Parts: sequence; structure tokens; C-alpha cells
Amino acid sequence: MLKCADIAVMVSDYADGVADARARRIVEQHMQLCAVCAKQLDRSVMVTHQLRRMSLLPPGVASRTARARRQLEARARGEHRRLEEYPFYVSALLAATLVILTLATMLYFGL
Amino acid sequence: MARPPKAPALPLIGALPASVDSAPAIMTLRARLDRYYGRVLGVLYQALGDAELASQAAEAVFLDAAALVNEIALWRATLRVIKRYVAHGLVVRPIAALANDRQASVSGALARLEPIERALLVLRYHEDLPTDVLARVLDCDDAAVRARLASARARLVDGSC
Repeated sequence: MLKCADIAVMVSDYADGVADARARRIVEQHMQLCAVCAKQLDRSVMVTHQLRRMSLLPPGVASRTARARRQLEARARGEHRRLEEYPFYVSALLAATLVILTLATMLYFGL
Repeated sequence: MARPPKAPALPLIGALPASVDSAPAIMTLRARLDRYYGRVLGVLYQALGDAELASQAAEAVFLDAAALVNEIALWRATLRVIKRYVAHGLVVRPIAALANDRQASVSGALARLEPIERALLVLRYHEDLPTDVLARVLDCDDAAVRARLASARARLVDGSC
């Protein structure tokens, strides 16, 4: 008979419903022989069920989430706006440089 | 897994081509926040135990451009931030409900686990990430993830009786 610790991962997979056929057979055979593991399996399923249903944030924190999220978005958009405006500034600088060079050339050649 | 995103109104800051997932993954920051902010905050709160720490950590996650590529990168960044806070000793136990019911005993038992164990269990069973996705998040193989989950859940079960 396999030891309880040897099949812990198989039992966990079985509780999640993702065990393969061989693992299911081994676990079911073990459960018939080991009352402790059978009880542990039931409790594991119950605990997982509660974990799926529990609220991760306490009520006070959940109510502040929307404001924190808006602040984060505003901060990120501020950085993004600066990055968006960057091409405009570069283009403006290039255009100004071109105009100055053109004027300088015209003055140099006395046009 | 993340659904293919709609056409973004604004590109992401430092948006990168999807390299981890085959599905196109660039979403607007707003869409990303809409879908994931509450969930990431919840995972961070359960791992770090404090609302203020969780908010700061969430900010670090979402302002990391590399984390916004796809869902796997996002959860990877979340775990990275948790590990950083753990390394600096900035972790407390989350407050568990005081009611005398199963939910309270489970949340109390969860609070007594290690931060990374808490995060793993929440990601697997609350966020429903399959073990193969978790393996990619953790950068290890599926068998190792299942072993860690089995161990963490056994401790959770023992602590909730």
C-alpha cells in the first residue's frame, strides 16, 4: 500500500478534478483503506470551495479601491502624455532648425 | 487565459510585442486596470497583509511596462513585487474575519501561511489559474507547481480545522 505522503500530489489533483485515470484509481483505492486521508480529502475540497468564494479584500479596503485605481490611471496617463508630446517637440525643433539654416544661407549668399 | 483585446484607443506606455503568449496582448492601460486592478490588489492584500502595502505594490505592478504585455507577465510581476516586499520584511498577516464559520476559519488559516504560499493558493483557487499557467508565471515545471500547491493546501487544511 502506498504511503499517504507518497500520493499527496495525486490527492490534491484528485480534489481539483484534474487527476489522470491512473492517479484517480490509486487515490480511490487508498481512500478505501485510509480513513484519515479520506477525511482529509473531504476537508480539502471544502477548504478549496471556501477559498474560491472568499472576498480577498476586507470591506473598508474594497471601497477605497476605485479611488486608488483612478489615481494610478491618472499618474500613468500623465507619463504617457509626456511621451505622446515628445514627437511634436522633436518635429518643432527640426522645423525651427531648418528655417534658421535657410535664413542663414539666404543671408550668407545675399539673397 | 486573457482573451484577445479590442483595438486600443491609446497605446500602452512602452508597449512590447507579445512574447510569452501567442494571443495578441496589447491592451489600453484602462482596459488592463478595469480587468485586473481589483484582482491584483486582492492577491497582494492576501500576500502582504496590509491595504496600504497592497496599494503601493499594485502601483508598482501596473506602472511596470513589461508587466502589461499579457496576463502571465502581470502575475509574474505581482509575484516579483511580493518577493521584494518579503525580502524587505514588509509583510504582515492579513486580518481574518472574526465570525465563527467555515469562511472565517479558512481565511484565518490562510493568514497563517507564508506570503508566497498565500499568493499561490489565491492565484490557483480564487483566480482559477491552471497549474500550467502558474508554472509559466513561476518559471518552473508543472509538477513542481502541483507539489507546492499540494503542500500549501495541506497546511491550509490543517490550519482550518
